[in-house]
Amino acid sequence: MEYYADIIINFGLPVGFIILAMITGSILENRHFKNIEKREADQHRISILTTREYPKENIAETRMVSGSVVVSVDYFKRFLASLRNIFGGEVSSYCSLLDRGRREAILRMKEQWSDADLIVHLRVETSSISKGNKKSIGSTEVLAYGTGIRFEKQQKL
Amino acid sequence: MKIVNQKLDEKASDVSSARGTALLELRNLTVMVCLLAAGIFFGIGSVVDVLVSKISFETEVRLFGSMSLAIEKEKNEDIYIKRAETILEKLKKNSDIPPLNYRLVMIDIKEPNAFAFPGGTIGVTRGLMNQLNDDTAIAFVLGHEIGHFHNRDHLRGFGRSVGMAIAYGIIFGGRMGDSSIGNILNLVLQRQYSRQQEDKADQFGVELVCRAYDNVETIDKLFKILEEQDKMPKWAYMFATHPDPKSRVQKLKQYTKKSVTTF
Repeated sequence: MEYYADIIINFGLPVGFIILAMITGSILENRHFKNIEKREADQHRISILTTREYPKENIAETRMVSGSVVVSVDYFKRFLASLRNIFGGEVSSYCSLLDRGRREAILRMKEQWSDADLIVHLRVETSSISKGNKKSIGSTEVLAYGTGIRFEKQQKL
Repeated sequence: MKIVNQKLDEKASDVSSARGTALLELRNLTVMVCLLAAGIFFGIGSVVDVLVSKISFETEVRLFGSMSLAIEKEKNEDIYIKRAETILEKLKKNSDIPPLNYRLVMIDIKEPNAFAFPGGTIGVTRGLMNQLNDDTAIAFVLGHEIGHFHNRDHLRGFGRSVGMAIAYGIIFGGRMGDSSIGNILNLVLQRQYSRQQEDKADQFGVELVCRAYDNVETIDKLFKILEEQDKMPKWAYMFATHPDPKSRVQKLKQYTKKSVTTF
């Protein structure tokens, strides 16, 4: 009996936890990506520029718009990333985390003022939460901000 | 200024998302970790083997001879130990026995087991001695441990575990989850190596008993006791360092048939 308990605690639990995290993590991630795709299609009307230059005629209103999100990576992907740390190379398990964060933040920014026609001077910033603390949860904050412009009715892009 | 807002196709919008690559990444990393662990295991193993071959029995006695164990009592006046010591004296007449400072120590544990410690200390558990009422069986247990001394398994085991602990600590240490990966790999690799050592030590033990007693039949009794005590399910032996008693007895029987005829 002790032997069973020993094996389960030492090997079964970590492996089981990783498998569980893999399943739930991939379900949640897929769901999030589907949601992002749908909202990207919905919000497609609002154009985004990273330049400071923009059409200056017929502006009805300008506003600062911003959207931010904090996303966390699942245990399975963190485990993959830590193995990747040994060998080096692209940490592809974190790529999806950052991609989700960036796209979600930009979407939230657009959703903050859905009447806008154009957002110029877009900036995206990424920071890690509880940086440097080894026991911290692997999560990232993405902030997207820019200047939203609404034109007079007659001028549409 | 004309702004064209074109829709990206799915492929373009997913260009940096790395979606669906997790399992591929897992496969690649698993292969790499296995290769790395195997490399470390065999690398450290061969370094330790070379180092151990340079340590003579005299040096071993000098280094570890005066080492006392934490489990040791002040004086071992135990009747079981006295009996085992007489058997050990008999076995020691054999010239194949490495020249070490042999010492017997009783360990107060219920489970039947015996250990070889560097320097020539043999630890036997009370559980084992309680169950063995035959000199040949005790002689085999001692012979098996002396076999470990003869093959330098105790030093190798010591060196390997220290080396491996350092290496895995550096590589996998401090990262969540993967220290257990290191443990599993090490256990599986160590298992095969250790079983070879056990088989060799068994053979050495049988030879010693054959020469000292001209009788190996009672060794069966020892394994029967172990078999009865054995609560581990068959599959668990996949992770065990010792082979399961049944296959051990079978191997020994084969070996005994061969060796008895040569004596």
